[in-house]
Amino acid sequence: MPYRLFALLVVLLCLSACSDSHWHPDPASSDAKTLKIAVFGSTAGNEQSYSASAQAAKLAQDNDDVKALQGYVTIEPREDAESLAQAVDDARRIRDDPDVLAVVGHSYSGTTRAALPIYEQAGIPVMMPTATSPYVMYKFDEHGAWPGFSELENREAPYPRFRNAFRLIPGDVPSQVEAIEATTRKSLKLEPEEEPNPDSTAPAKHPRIMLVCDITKRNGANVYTQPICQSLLRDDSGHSIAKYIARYREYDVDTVDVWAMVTEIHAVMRSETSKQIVFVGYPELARMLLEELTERSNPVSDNMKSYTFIMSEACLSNELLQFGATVYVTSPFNPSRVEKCLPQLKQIEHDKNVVLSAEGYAYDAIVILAKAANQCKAKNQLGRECVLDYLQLNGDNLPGKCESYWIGNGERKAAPYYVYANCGGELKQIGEIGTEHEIHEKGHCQQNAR
Amino acid sequence: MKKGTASKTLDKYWRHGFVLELVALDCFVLLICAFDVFRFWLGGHAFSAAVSVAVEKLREGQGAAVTAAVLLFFVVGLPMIVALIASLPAIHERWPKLFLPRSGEVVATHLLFSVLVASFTAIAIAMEVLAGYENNDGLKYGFRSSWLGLVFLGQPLWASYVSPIIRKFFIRLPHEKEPLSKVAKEIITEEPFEQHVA
Repeated sequence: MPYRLFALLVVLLCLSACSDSHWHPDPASSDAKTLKIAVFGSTAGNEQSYSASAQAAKLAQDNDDVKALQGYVTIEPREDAESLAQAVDDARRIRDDPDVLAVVGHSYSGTTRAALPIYEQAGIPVMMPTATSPYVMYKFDEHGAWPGFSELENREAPYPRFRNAFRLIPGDVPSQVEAIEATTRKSLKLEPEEEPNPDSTAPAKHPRIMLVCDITKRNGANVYTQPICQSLLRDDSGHSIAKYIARYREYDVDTVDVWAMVTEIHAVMRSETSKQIVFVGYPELARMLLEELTERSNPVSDNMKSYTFIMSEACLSNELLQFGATVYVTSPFNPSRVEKCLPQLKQIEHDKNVVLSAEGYAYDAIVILAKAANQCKAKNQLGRECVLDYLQLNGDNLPGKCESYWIGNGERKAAPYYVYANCGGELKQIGEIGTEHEIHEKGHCQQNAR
Repeated sequence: MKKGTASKTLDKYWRHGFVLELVALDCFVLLICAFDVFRFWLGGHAFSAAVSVAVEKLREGQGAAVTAAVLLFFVVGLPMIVALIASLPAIHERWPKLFLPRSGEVVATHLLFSVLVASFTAIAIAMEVLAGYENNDGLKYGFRSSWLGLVFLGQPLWASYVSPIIRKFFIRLPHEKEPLSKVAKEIITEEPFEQHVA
């Protein structure tokens, strides 16, 4: 046999002997001994480095359903991504890791939207305790022009949904939009009978509000805020506040001129005695705005107390109360229910001065996954496919520890929404949004909040 | 080595392996691959996802070694094996119409099928990883590709075959102080290592 041919054969045989153990690990020799549930938690914008999901993951270790999986499945808390690029990298690592059974996360709608197509490739079930944007659930080319959110469910050509995504928290549209509208109307003291008559020729003095939308691309804030802001601008129901929006502005944290932003707010709100600003976005931009407003409040004889902010659920943070403005936050989180369900959190809430938020949802997500895994284990089918089937088949009744969930098409159905206000330096629940978009006041801080 | 000798050797050991039966063998392998795709689809997975992940990983160099090995085996090794079988007197005399060397379309078809099978090997790796592990008293892949099983089945055999050759080659070469071609020829002739050392 000629030498050259021999050399070629040797190369061939050497290549075939090479293994791709990193990309395709052999289960027998892999470091992994159990499957994992990856729980993503973020400490961003939190001075105490507190993460609701990480805390929930810690507490869930003591849950009976989780304990029953000992030796089979472990809960693995992971630090969440702060940018879309990082979220995509994290998701790719998880997709390429065959021992990941399911994911709980991510913390933001933008990062979840970026990661979901990658998880879908591997059929990894994703339980979402905090991502609320309607965009998260639909498949479309995220690098092209995004569809208007009303096009997503166009009945003639609806966009397909991710079959592996399950949202425990109610979606922003309509739940949060209705809550913001109800809170704004309440704050403006608008009653249905006081609606301005559109046929009247006499000029009416309408209250004027400003709508500020955070469209930061880096952290995907635009994914979260765009559907809410587009809905708020639509004057399509008796509850709409669109007619009172005197100015609508979109800002990106990375490019915003804060001085110009506040100058514009001053200009729009000059004639208003009560300056109402609806803010839809993340605390980073909210804090920048409040800091600049506070800094410039004296030179223009402005008083921070004359400002009322109606903020979206991502701003449920006591740290935004220090600037002196009146703050309302709409949110699906119910701290009293979380406290009741997970009493261990009372002390943490007090020590860290945090508002309990997604702990209940994240804990329930782990419990639901553990129940699914236990059932799959009993059938000797403990894997992603079986867990996904369980979640799809039992969507109408997925019991957690804190709540039971009815999830159809991946979306949470029939969930309550609440309004929070500053009660003695802390955000406390002051009301619940009713079915007729009214606010049922509750709690002992009503006077203070008003 | 003379040019004519090389050409003759190539004909004898490789080109004569391009026979119709080789294409039939390719079709059989492709059938196994198609069966894998069907089972993967039945498991609720998307084949397109496996393709895109395999491409992504090949660009990063992951899975490239096995893919290249399978391609080389199909393009070089398989025709050589067929040529060897075809040259066996028992086969040649008993079925003279079998294993007739072809060219043109058969070569092109085999090369095309070889590329398909090699590509599928990379995709099969992605399919297994994307399906993830199952843990039923021990971890194992939730989806196991029959084709990849065959590929990896040969891996230890090849490795055990290659390692003595390499060992002989690297140990003998510095000792002999002889030209590389001579050492290679000795190894090919399967001269026992122990006898040579003695």
